[in-house]
Amino acid sequence: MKLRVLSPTEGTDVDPRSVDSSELTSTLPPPHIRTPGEFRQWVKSWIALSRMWQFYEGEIVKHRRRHVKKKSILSRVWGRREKKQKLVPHAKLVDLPPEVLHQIASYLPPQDLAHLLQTPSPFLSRIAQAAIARRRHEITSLANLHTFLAYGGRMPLFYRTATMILFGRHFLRLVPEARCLLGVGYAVVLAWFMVLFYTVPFLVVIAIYCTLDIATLLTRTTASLLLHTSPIMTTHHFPSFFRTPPRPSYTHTVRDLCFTGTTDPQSPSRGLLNPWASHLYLLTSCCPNLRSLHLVGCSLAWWFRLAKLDRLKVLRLEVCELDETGMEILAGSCGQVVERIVLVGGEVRGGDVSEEGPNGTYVNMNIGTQSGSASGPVQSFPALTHVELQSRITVEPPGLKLILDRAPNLSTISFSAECKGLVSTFVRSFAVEKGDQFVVKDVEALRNQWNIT
Amino acid sequence: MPVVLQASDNQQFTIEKAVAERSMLLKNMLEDVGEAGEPIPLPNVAGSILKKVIEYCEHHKEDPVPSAEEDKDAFESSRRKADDIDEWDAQFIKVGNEELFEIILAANYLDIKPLLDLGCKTVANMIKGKTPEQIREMFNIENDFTPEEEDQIRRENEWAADA
Repeated sequence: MKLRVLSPTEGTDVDPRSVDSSELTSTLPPPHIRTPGEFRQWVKSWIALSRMWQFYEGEIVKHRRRHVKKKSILSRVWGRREKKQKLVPHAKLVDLPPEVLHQIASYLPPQDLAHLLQTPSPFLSRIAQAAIARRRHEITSLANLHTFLAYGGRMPLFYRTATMILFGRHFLRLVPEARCLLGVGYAVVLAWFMVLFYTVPFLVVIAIYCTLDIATLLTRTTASLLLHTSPIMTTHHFPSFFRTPPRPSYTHTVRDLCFTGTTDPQSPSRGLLNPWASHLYLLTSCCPNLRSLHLVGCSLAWWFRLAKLDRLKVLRLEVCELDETGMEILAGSCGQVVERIVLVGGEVRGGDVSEEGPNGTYVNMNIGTQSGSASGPVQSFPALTHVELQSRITVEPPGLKLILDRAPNLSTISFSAECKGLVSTFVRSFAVEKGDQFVVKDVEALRNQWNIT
Repeated sequence: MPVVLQASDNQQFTIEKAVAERSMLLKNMLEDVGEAGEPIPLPNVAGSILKKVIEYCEHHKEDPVPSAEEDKDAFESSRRKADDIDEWDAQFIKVGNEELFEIILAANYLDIKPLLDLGCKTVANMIKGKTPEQIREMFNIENDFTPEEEDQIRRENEWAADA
């Protein structure tokens, strides 16, 4: 048995809006004969099925018209097809040199770059990718955030549930931390308190989120099936929600992102139900290729919502709060290749500070070791070489030690003159003044002072 | 001293030196070689396109020539301002796609930054607000997915066939 199907590379170069439907079906190229084995292999894809359907529909139309003006229609359609396929020499965008295309792309807003990504030309797609990657993306309002995520297209499945699981995981860590800091009795009381008052609400919320995620999964699966069982050339008639976005998606291309999570630039936004914080996981999981991330106004409660960013090199935190847990989460999610951390304003909360010893040295500081030993090994920033503390950041030596503990290869620490917490302590004696900055080059000496190594 | 330019189709155009010096390529060439009086061959530019380029250069011959740094700064500041086009320039660049791309290629070859910027802005304005299908149609973008990419798309959709 031999079946007649269309070749997968044929029949895709005519825009259906440029001709009416009867002409469209008649513009299909002559059939290609396949052996049964070839056909079975080929037919496994839904693309093939959709093209078969398209061919079948074309055959029906042709059959109906076989006895009516057969010759004239075919000659007209083939003539039109040949005319449509004929490309004018040098009238192609892809013929322009890459540097010119890069310049054109630099003038385009994000929406048009997203459209350029979707053209079937990998070359133009790469140009658009480069333009997106070079551009800094600043998200300063929820509307911006929603638009940005809409460009992302391929949002992760079960992101709501994943956020709640992350929350639960970090919430559970409170128990061993309480045991270390306050004793076993307090930890037991806290655990019972959590079981009694938090378990049910947590399970309810996670059930709601899971239901929403499953509903999203079903919708997307249905949309995907609809897409792939329909003729390929008519998919653009679907609303954008039902389209499976092509690869690569916009947000996967973004390298430099600034996310402002507060309306007041002087203080971080708080609260677990903060709409900004709830999007942080979604945002960071939609942009896995970030090289530079600038977060503004993140409170302590935000950090557990950070998705894994394996390629992040520069992390800039402005008016953010960090403590030991936050630092652990940061190191765990994006610490592997981070080379530079810039802290602007905000606060780094160190551990227990008992007293200031002679010569301004701190003694009996319980930082980064107790809870670390209780809840597993301390997460570190193995590639971190530069730390900058800018503006009026509230950080004292214990806060700095928190960073030093996790950065074995740190080579430079710089802090501004406004950073009173460090300028007025022994850390100042290790630093060299450069303008309004103090730079510590001999980080090892600073470590020795603390007897870290 | 006039300068004679010879296009790829052997058409010759005699222009003022000031006009020729809008092109960095010609300016450097004239500085290096001197004014020999012989036609300068431009094998990459057709006569009709060279005529348009000369028209542009003659109109802008009085404009100050930006230095490399100024030019870079101006370009950075005008980034994302594709609508910022002079009225005469807008009329000048109202040509078909084929001619527009030829002008851009000529501007790139002759190193005429303002004309290149103008062409790029015009193309960017044409792309703005268009769907991927419209962009593809407008600029004759062929479906140049490789067989491997086609195969990948097919594999990615096999789960639906198995379901």
